[in-house]
Amino acid sequence: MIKIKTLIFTFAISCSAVFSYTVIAKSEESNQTTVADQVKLGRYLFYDADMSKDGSMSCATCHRQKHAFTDGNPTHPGVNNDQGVYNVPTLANIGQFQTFTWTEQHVHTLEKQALMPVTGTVPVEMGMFKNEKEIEKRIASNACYVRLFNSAFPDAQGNKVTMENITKAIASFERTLISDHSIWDTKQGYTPEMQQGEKIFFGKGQCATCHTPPLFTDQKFYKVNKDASKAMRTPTLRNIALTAPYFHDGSLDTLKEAIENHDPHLTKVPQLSEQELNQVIAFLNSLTDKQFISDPKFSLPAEPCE
Amino acid sequence: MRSFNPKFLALCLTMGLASFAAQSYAQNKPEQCADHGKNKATHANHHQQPCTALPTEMSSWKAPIAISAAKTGAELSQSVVEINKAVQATLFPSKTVQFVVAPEERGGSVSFAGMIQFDVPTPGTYRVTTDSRPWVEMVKDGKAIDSIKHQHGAQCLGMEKILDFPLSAGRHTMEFTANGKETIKFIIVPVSSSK
Ligand code: HEC
Ligand code: HEC
Repeated sequence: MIKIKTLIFTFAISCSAVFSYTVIAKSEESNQTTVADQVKLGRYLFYDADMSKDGSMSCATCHRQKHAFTDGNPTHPGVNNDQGVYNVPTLANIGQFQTFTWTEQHVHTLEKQALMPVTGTVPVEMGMFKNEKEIEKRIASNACYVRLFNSAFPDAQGNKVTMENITKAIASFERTLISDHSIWDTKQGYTPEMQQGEKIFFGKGQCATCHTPPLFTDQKFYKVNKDASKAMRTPTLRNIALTAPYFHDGSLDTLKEAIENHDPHLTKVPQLSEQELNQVIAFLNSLTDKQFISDPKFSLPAEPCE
Repeated sequence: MRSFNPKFLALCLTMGLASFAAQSYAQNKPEQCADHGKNKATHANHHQQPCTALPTEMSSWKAPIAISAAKTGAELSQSVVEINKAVQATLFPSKTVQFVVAPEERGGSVSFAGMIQFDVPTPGTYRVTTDSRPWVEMVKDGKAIDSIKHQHGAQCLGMEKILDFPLSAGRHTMEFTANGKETIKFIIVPVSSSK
C-alpha cells in the first residue's frame, strides 16, 4: 500500500515538474520570440521616414550606421530646416546606458528618449509634436507593419499600432546595437603605439577616470573647459575615430583638438607631449569596431516593410 | 490582480503622457533659445552662409527650366538636364519610383522621389544645390558616389542643401529621395579649386 502511494506521489511530482518546466520554457521561448519580433519591427521603424512630418527624415538620417550611428556633421537640421543644437551621439551599446542625451535631462529609458526627436520642438527635428496619431495612422495603413505589431505585441489589447509600442520596438532594436569587437577588444592588430597609448589613457592621462571601460564613459556630467556652459555627460569613446566632429556642439574636427580642450584644472588631464598625444590617438583608433558598422543586422532592411 | 480597473489604467496613462510631453518639451529646450521669435533668425545665421548676391554662375536659379523627373530607368533618357542651368523637377510618391541603384535613404510613404541624368564634360568637383532637403544619391555606371562636402544653403535665396561630389567625365544619374515636397529646384555647377 505504502509502495503504491509513494509511486503515485512520485509520479505526481514528476508530472508537475515536467508540466511547470514546459510552461516556463514555453513562456521564456515566447518571450524571446516576442523580443526578436520587436527588434525586427524596431529596425524597420528606425529606418522609416514616415516617423517625420514630410517623410523626409528617419532616425537613421541622423544616426547612420557607417558613422557608428552619428552623421559626420556638427549638428543636423530638422524637417523645417531648424538648426540642430547638439552633435548627434553614437548609439553603440546604447542599451547599457542609464542616462540619455548630452546634458542631465533625467531621461532614463530608451522608450522615453525615442519620442524626443519625433515630437521635440526646440529644435524641431522630425516635426511630429501633437501629431503622433498621424504616425500611428501611416504605420497602421501598412499591412506588413500590422502583421509585425501583432507578433511583436501578442498580449496587447485593441489597437497595437500605438506610439507606446512604436517606441518600445525601436528601443528593442537599439538594445541590439552592441559594439564589442574593436581592435582593443580582440587585440588583433593591436600595435605597440596603441599599447603605449593605452598606458597613458589608464595612467598619467587620467582619461579612464571619466571615460571608464567597457563603455568608456562613467555616465557622469562634467564641465571640461571654461567655455562649457553646462555640464556634459562623458561621451563614450568607442568608435570615436568614426564619429567626428567632436564635443557636444560638434565644434572640434580632430581627436587632437578634442583632447587638448580638456582643461587641466577642471579635468586633471595633464599637458601631453606631441608623442604622447599621438599614442593616445592611436589607442583611440583601436576602439573602432568594423564589425559593428558593417553588421547587416543593423543596416537599412534590404526591402521596405510592404 | 483580478480587481483590475481600466479607468485607473487610463488615468495613469494620461498622467504619464501629459507629464512626459511636458518634460520632453522642457528637455529639448536649449538655454540660449529662450526667445522663440528671434530663435529662427539667430539660428539661421549660425552655420549658414550669409545672404550674398546670387553668384553669376547660378543666375538661372531665378528662372529654372521645368521638367518631369524619371520614375524608372527606362524613362531616364527623357529627364536629361544640363549643368549650370537651374531645373525645377516634378517628383513622384517615393514608393512608386523604381531606382536604378537602391538609395541609402528610402523616404517615407508621404515623401517624393525621382531621377534625372546629366553629363559631366571634365572631371572635377561638382556642386548640387537644392531648394529642399532630399537625400541625393549620385550614380555612375551602377555605383553610388559619396559626397565629399555638405553645406547649408543661403535660406534667403531659397537654397537649403549644398553637396559636393567628385565626378569623372560622362553620364551620371542623380536620384532624389525622401523629398518633403512634390517638386524640387536644383542646379549642378562645377566648383573651381579656389572655393
Ligand atoms: C535631426 C537629427 C536626429 C534624428 C532624426 C534623430 N536623432 Fe537621435 N539624437 C540626435 C541628437 C542631436 C541627439 C543628442 C540630443 C541631446 O543631447 O539633447 C540624439 C540623441 C539620441 C539618443 C541618446 C544617445 C545618448 O548617448 O544619450 C538616442 C538613443 C537617439 N538619439 C535615438 C534616436 C531615435 C530612436 C530616433 C528616431 C525616432 C532619433 N534618434 C532621431 C539627433 C537625431
Ligand atoms: C573629468 C572627466 C574627463 C576626463 C578625465 C577626460 N575626459 Fe574626455 N570628455 C569628458 C567630457 C565631459 C567630454 C564632453 C565634452 C563636451 O562635449 O563638451 C569629453 C570629450 C572627449 C572627447 C570627444 C568625444 C566626442 O564624442 O565628442 C574625446 C576624444 C575625449 N574626451 C578623450 C579624452 C582623453 C583621451 C582623455 C585623457 C587624456 C580624457 N578625455 C579625459 C570628460 C573627461
